[in-house]
Amino acid sequence: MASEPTLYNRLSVLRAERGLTRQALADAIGVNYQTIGYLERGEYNPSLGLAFQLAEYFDLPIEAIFSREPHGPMSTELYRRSA
Amino acid sequence: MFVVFGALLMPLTGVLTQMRELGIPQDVGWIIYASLLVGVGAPLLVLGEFRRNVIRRGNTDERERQRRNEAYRISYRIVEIAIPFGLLAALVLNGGIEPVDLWPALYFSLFFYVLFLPYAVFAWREPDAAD
Repeated sequence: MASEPTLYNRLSVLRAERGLTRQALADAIGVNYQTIGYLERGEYNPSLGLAFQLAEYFDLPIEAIFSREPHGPMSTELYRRSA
Repeated sequence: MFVVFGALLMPLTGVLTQMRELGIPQDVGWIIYASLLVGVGAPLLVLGEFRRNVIRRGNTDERERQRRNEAYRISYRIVEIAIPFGLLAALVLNGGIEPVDLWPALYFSLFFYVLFLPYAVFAWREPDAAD
């Protein structure tokens, strides 16, 4: 069985920025709070539907949250874009 | 669903074997067998539906469903290998099908094995929560 490709995400950063607990995010998305932990640690790759739900919740494009490449620090990317 | 039916069939077949040993006519035996299957199976199915649709609704998300289905797949693979080998080992160790005293114990062992194996696999594969 082929292993799933690693999918990196910024969920923990986005959640921290908004001061959300895992439970609050889980309730908003309709999943178990443990699933948020699995997602944040990269131990579970979400379905396309769940990825869209998260993107809609954070009001961001999917590629801003999920990536096949590791994310750099968000502050660095923001600074580069504005500079 | 298959686990429940499989688990039901084994002890009931054991009961049927015992009925034949007791000299109960085959027709009557089959009626008792079918009655037991329906009588025990129907409440179990109702209980399963209740658990799935009422108790767990809203709690089971896609990750949990994926883990549960993986556990079932692994369990079926283990069972389809373990049962024939187990029966073969029982036959060899027992020197054949007779005496039938062995069969009820074997059926009930398989009953609990098939019933609880998916849960054991699920628990075994679930990583420890970091927090």
